[in-house]
Amino acid sequence: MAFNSYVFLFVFLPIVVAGYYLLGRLFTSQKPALAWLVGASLVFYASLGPGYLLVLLGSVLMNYLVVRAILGQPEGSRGRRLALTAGIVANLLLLGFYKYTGFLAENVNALFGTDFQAPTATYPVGLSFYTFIQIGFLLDAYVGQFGRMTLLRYALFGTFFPYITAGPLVRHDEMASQLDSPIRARTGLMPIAVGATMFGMGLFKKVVLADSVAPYVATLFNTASEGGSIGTASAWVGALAYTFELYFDFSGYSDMAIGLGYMLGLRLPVNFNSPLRATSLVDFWRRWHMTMVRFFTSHVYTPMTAGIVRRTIRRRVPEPVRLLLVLCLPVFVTFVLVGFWHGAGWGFIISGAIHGVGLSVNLTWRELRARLRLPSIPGVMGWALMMLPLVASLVFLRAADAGSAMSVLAAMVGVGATGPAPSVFYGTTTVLGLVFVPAIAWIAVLAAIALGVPRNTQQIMARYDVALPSLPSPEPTPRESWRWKPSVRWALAMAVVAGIGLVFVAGPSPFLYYRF
Amino acid sequence: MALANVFEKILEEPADSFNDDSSPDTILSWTSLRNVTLLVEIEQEFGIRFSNAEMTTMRSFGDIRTALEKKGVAVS
Repeated sequence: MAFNSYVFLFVFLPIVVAGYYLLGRLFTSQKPALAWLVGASLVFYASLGPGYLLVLLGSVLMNYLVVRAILGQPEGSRGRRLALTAGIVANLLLLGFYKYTGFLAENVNALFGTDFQAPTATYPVGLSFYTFIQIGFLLDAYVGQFGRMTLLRYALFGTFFPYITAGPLVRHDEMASQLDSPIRARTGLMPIAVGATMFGMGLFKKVVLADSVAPYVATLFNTASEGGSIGTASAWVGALAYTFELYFDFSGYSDMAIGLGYMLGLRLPVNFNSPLRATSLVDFWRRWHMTMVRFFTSHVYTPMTAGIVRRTIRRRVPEPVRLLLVLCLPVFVTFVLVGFWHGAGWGFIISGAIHGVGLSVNLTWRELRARLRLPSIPGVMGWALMMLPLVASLVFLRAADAGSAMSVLAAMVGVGATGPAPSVFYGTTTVLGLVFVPAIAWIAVLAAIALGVPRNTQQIMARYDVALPSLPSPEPTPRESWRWKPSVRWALAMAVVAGIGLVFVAGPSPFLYYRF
Repeated sequence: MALANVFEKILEEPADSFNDDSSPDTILSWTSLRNVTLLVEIEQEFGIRFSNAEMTTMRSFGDIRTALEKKGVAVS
């Protein structure tokens, strides 16, 4: 029962919303309504796979006990630090057991000629996400920035169905502060209209836009893993198709999650801000999967950078070494971890390392530019310099293994590219006597939407502050055009968008981020 | 040393050119490297310590001034 299924849309969601609104109005206490949401979330998660529920309940209960242990110790004490460390290790062990043991066994066996067998447990969808949400919570609790907590509130925070399967990676304080105000004040007809509109746009992105190119992406990467020959143009078409597929899939998912939260009176943090319109890699990472970037910035990148600066500031470290230590090392380490978080495999690590190197170059250039007062790179060139490492890294993210990723990249630069042209590789269609390649036509459509539509979904819904801020970014200039309001014209436009989405739901395909 | 003077020292812009809205978006020399250097320099100058959360969320002169005031540092 994913967001893009009829059971979710026409059975689960209406019942959950109706029950929640009713309980929130029948009782002055929030408890029955919140308990209802916890119950609904458990039903949702249990429907995704057998045995998943036990893992989720185990994780939430364990973290609740760890948080109690952390808060039971005085600030700055050894005991508090120990409880935090033990909690983080326990979370990583749980994640590691389901996600990384196979990879570990494979590499140990290759290195030492041993024959370890990893346990064959199915990976519970969303485990990476709710594990990191809760690790973030432990770290916030350790420094005392987490808002008011009770067992019921914590249970909701740890299981809330809009975000447990693929984010956004929320923080406890931003959820807790909303729960402080009564449900009556946060819900109503308008939140349902606004949330449903956001959800409808996300559904369209996922089932119409992202899923349209999925078959071509599969053609390319399946050919690569079977060792088939790939032409240069075909490799580019497939790699670009995946870039747009992943963008529309995950930003569509995020819009749906944010829309669901809004209907239930809980604003979730924004996850995407037109990333493909960025003109540098640094800019891109302020706009793509923003809540994950926020997590890694707060808990890995910043502490590491500050630690290094604190150590080097009094010593006379030569400038090039300082640049390397302070600018490049933390961002490289951070993004290798980001890559590894996405999945257990060398392809994922390489994918992260590509961003680590690209960001190091980008940050060093910014530093030199500021110092030497050099002119900035023109936007179009900056965009191309961002897209190249991005597309290359996504090839590693999608390919079955690092070897087939290398063969796609080799084909892209023309090495051993003997395969057929896109018209043969992906097929052609004839419409009104015109022969065209649908794979290329779809990429053109998706590029036009990603780059050309003047406002993204949360800007369209800006009048209603549909999402919480996640990463600091410059405020866009307020403009009245392209802003949703409750009017007949917008209702018709959204009915068309959501209606087309609903038609395409017929063949639900899983969200790409369920893999990660 | 006044807060603006620490900014002047690290960002190499005259102290009186900073106001609460000054941020990496308005000041070219305010790069990520200098941002961390600046924060660590402020820590040492005023004898305080920023948390990771503070370091990540502060984005402007005003943010930093407010954070210092919360820690009981009188900023002139």
